[in-house]
Amino acid sequence: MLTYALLKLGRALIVVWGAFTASFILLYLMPASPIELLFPPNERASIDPQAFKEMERAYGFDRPTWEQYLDRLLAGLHGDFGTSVGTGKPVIEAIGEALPNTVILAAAALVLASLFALSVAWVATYLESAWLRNLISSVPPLLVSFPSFLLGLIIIKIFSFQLGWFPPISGDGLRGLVLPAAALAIPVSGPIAQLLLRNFQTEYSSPYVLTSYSKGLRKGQVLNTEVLRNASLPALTQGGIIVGELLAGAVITETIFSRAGIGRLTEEAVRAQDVPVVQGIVMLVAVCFVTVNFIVDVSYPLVDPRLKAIPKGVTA
Amino acid sequence: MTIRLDQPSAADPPSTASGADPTLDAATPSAPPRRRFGVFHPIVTQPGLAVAVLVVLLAVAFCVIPAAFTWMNPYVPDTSAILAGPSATQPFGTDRLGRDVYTRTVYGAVITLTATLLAVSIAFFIGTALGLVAGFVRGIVDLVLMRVVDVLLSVPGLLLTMVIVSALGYGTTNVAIAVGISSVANFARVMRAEVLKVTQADFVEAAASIGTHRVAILLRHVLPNSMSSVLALIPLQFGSSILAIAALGFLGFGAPPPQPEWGLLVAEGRDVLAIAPWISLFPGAVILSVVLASNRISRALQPVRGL
Amino acid sequence: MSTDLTVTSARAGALLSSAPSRRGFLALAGATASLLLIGCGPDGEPAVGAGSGGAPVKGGTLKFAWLGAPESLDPQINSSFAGANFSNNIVDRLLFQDRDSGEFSPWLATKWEHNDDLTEYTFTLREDVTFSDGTKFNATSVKNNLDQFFHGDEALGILPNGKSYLGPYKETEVVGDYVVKVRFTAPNASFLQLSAHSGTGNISFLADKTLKSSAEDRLKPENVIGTGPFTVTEYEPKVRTVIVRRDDYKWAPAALGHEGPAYLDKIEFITIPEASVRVGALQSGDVPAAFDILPTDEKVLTAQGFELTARINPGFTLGWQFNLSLAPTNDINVRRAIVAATDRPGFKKTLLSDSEGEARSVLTDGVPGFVDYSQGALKYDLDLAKKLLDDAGWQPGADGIREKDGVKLKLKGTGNILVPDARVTYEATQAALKSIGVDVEIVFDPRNIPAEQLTAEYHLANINRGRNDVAVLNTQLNPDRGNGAVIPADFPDRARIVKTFDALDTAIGAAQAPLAKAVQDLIHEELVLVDPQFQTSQVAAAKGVHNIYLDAADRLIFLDTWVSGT
Repeated sequence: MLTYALLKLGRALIVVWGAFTASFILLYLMPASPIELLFPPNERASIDPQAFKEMERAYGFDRPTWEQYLDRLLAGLHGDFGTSVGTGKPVIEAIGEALPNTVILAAAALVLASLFALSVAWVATYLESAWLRNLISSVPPLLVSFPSFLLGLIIIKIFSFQLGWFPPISGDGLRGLVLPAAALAIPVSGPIAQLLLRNFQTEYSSPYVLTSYSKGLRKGQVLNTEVLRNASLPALTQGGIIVGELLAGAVITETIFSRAGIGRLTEEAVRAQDVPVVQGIVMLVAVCFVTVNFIVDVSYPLVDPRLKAIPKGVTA
Repeated sequence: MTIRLDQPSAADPPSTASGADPTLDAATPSAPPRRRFGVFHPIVTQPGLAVAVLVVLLAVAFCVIPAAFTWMNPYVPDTSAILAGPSATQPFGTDRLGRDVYTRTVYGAVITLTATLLAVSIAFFIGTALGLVAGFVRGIVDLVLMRVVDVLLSVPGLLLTMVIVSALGYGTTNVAIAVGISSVANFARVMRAEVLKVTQADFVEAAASIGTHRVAILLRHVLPNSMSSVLALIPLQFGSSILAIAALGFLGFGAPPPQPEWGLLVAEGRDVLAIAPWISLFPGAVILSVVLASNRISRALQPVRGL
Repeated sequence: MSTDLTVTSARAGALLSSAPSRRGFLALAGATASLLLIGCGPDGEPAVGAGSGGAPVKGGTLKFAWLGAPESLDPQINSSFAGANFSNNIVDRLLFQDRDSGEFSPWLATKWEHNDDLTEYTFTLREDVTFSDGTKFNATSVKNNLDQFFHGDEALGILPNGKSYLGPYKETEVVGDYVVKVRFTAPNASFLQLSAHSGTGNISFLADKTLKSSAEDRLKPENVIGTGPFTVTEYEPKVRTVIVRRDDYKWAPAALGHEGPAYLDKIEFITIPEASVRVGALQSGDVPAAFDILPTDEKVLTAQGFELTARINPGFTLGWQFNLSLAPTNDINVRRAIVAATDRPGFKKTLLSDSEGEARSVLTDGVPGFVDYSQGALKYDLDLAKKLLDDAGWQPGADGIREKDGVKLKLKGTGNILVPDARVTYEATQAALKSIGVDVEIVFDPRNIPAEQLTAEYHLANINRGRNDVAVLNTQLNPDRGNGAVIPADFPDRARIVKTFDALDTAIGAAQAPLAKAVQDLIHEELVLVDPQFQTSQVAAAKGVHNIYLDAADRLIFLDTWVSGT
C-alpha cells in the first residue's frame, strides 16, 4: 500500500513539474515582452526606451531563458511565482486573495451539481414509465450542450432582474451565492449526471439487485442502499477533472456575477498577458488536480471493497 | 467547457484521469461485455436521433453552401434597420449595424464548424497516435507519453486553451489549434485503453502465438478493433469543441469582427441583452442545437452497455 | 447652475468662433442627457442644486457601480480609468482646470508663474493644507513627490512611474516653505495643464509617510495618505473600494464653488464588469448610481427617469493613426480616401448615442486650440474617395480589391474593445471601405500585440488618448516623440514637421492657438496622419444622487455630490 501511494505521489509530482515546464515554455517564450503590456498600446511609442529597459530589468525579463527557468522553478518550489506585471503584487498574494471567493463558489456549485446529478440519476432509474425516464434522461445531455457563457446572463436576467429573487451582484451572504453557484453548477452537473445515470443503470442490472429484491426490499430501498453507493463511487475518480472544470467555469461566471476570484484573475491575466499570474494559476490548477486525484487514488481502494485487491497486486 | 468530462471511458472502469492505469483498468469487475450496433440502424428506430442527424446535416450544409440559405450579405451594414426585432423576413432580427443575424449565423457556421473540424482532427490524429503507441509499445514509452497526457489533463480545457491562445495569439486558427491540443488527451486515453484491452483479447494473442509480425498485428488486429470507441468520441468532441471555440470567441480570443463566428455573435449581443435579446439568444440556440445533436449522435455510436 | 449651459455655449463660442454650430450640439446633447449637475456657476457661488432636488443634504453613503477597479491604491501607479477616478477623490492638484474653457484657477497653489522659455515654473502654495495624517502640505512635499514620481526609488521598490509623463524634468527647488520652483531641461508648455490633470499620468501628492513606505506597504489603505476630500479605508481588489469623508477638508478649488468638506459620509465603489448587469443593478435599485454606462443604454435609462451625467472625453478623438512607413498607407491618396470614406456625420445620426460626438478634428471639441475640419479635410464623400483611388492608379482586381503595381489594397488595423461604439463605427468604416475596394482587417483587442509588430504590420492603429491640452498631439504624433504615424526618418521635410510640433511647447494660452492650428493643419490637410471616427464620452447614471461632477479630464469628483433621503 505504501509503495502504491509513493508511486502515485511520484507521478503527481512529475505532472506538476511537467505543467510548470510546459507553461514556462508557452508563456515565457512568447514573442512579446510582458513589459510591453504595461503600457496602453497607443502610448507605448512615447515611452522612454531607458525607462522601458529599467522596468524590464526590475521584473527580470532581460536574462537568458534557462537562467529564468531555473530561477523560477526554484522560486516556484517555495511557492513564489514572481510578481504580477499588471499590479506589482506577488502572484501568490494575488491568487491567495482570489482563491477563497472561488473556493466558496466552487464548493457551493459542487454540492448543487452533485445533488442535482444524483437526483436525475436516481429518479430516472426509479421511474417505471419509459416515457418519463427518457424525458429525465434527456436533461443531462441538454446541460452538457448548453453554451455556458450565455447561461449566466440568462439566469441573472430572469432571477435577478425580472423576478428579483436574488441580487445581481454577489456581495456577502448566502443569497448572493445562489445564482452564481447555480450558473456554475449547471454545466458541471451535466457530465456528472450522465456518468451517474449510466452507472445507476449498470448497477441496477447487476445480479445483486435481484438478491436484494428477493430479500423483500422495495425499489427505492434497493436504489438507496446498494445501487447508490456502488454507482456513485466511480464518480469520485472524476474528482480531479470536476474540480478543474469548476475552476475553468469560474472564468465566465465570476465576470458576470462580479465576483473577484480565480476565474476573473485568469481572464484578466490572459488578456493582459500577465505571464507570472497566468503561470501561477496554471500551477494552482495543476496542483489541485493532482492532489484531488492522489487522494482519490489512495483512498479509493479503501472505500470501494471491490478494488481492495488491486493495490496489493501492485505492491507484489 | 465541459470538454472532457463526458467520454465513454468515464463509465468504463474507474480510473482517475491521471491514471489510465492498466492494473485498475483490467481489474474492474463491473465492465460488462460489449455489443455493437450498426451505424445507421438506430436512426430508423429512434426519431430523436433522426432529428439530430438532420440538425448536423443542416449545419454542415450551412457551412458548405451558406449562400443557398440566405440571400442577404452577412457583412454589409444597413443603417435603416438597426436593432430590428425578429420578423418574417429577418427571423433572428438585426444587430447594431443593421445586419441580419440569421444570415450572420448561417455564415458563421463556415467559420465555427471549419475551426471545429480542425480542432477535432488535431485531437484525433495526435491523440490516437499517442494512445496507440503508448498502449502497444508499453514500457518507458507508455510511461512518458502518459505523463504528457497527464499534464494536458491537469489543466482544464478552457484554461488550457486560454493559455495556449495567449501564447499563440488571437484568431480562429489559433483557437482551433488550442482546442485541438487540449483535447488530445481524451483521444489518447481512450485509444490506449482500447489497445490494452484488444491486445489482451484471445484472437490477438493467438495471432502473436502463431508468429505474426508485431506491426502486422498492430495494423490488422489492434487498430481496427480499437477504433470504434475512438470514433464514437469524434461527434462528442465535435460538440464540445464547438462549445470551446464559441466560448473563446465569446471572450474575444477568436475570430476578429466583423466575422460572424458563433461565440462572437453571442458576445455582440451581450451588452444589449436587455433591449435586443435576439442578437445573443438566436445564435446561442443554434449552438445549443448543433452541440446537442452531435452529442446525441455520439451516444448512438457508443457501444451499448447495461440494461 | 441653471446658467451653466448658456455659459458653456457662450464661452466656447468666444473661444472657438470657427465652430458655432458645434457647441450648439454639445449643449443640446447635454440637455437631452439632462446634464444638470455641475456644482456651481462660473462665478464661484455655491450651487443650490437647482433642478435636482433642493438643497444639498449632508451625510449618507453612495454605492457607485462601475466597470473597472483601481488596479492599485497608489495614486501614482493608477493609470487605468477607474484608478484615476478613484484617486481623484483622495488627492488634490496644484491647479484646477475649467472643463469648458480649459483655463486654470487656484487649488493647492494660489499663484503660479513661469519664465519666458517655459522651462521654469514657480508655484506659491496654500498654507492651510494638511495630509490626512495631520502633516503639513508644503514646498518640500511637492519636491519629494515630483522627485519620486520621476526617479522612482529602487530601495523601496518604487518604479519611475512618472518618467514618461514629466518629460524633460530636471529638478524641483524649495524656494520657501510654501514656494516651489520646478525646472525642466527643455521648454514644457504643457506642465501647467499637467499640474491640473487628473487622468492618466497625473501628479498626485502623497504624505511623507507614504513616500517612505515600500512599494508593498504603500498598497495598504492606512498608508495611502493624500490631501483630498476623502480618504481610502477599504480595498478589496476588483470588488470594492471604500472612501470616507475628511471632516477637516477646506481647500476645495474656488472654481468648484464648494466650501468645506464633502457632503457624502462614504462612497463605496463597486465593480460590476458585465455591462448588462451594471445597468440591471441600476434599474433594479441595487445601486443608486453607476458609471461606464453604455451608449446603447442611454435612451432607455433616460426614459426610465435616470439622470445622466455625460461629458465628452477631452483629448484625441477616437480614430486611426495611419502608418506612413508601410505600403500602401504611405500613399497619401490612400489616406485621403480612407478619411473621405469615413461617414462621421452619419455615425452621429445612426450609430452613436446622445453623449458621443461627431469627430471634427484630431482633437475633441473642448480642448483649447481645437479647429473644426468637418467641412474641409474631414468631409465625408465616398465618391471622392473612389476618385482619389482611381486617380492614384489603384485599380479594382479580380476579387474586387484594388491593387497597384502588384500591391493589394489590403490593410490591417487595430480597434478598441473598451469603448463599445468604437467597434460599431470601425466596422461601419470597414464596410464602407470594402465597398470601394479597400480591404481592412481589424484586430479589436490589440493589447497583446507588441509595439514593434504594430509598427511593422499594422497600417491603422487605434488611438484615443485623453488629456485636455493640445500637448497630447505632441506626445502622440510628433515624429521625434511618440511618432504615432510612424513617419520614417527619411520623410521629406521631416525637420519642418518636427519643428511645427515642437513649437507647441513654447507657448501657453492664446499665444498657443495659432501653433495648435498649424499642427492640426499639418495632421489633417498636409500629411493626413489620422482618420478620426468620433468623440467618446463618459456617462454616469443615477437616481436620487445629485451633482456627480466630471472634471476637465472627465474624471469624477465627489466633493459636491449628495444623496437625497438620508
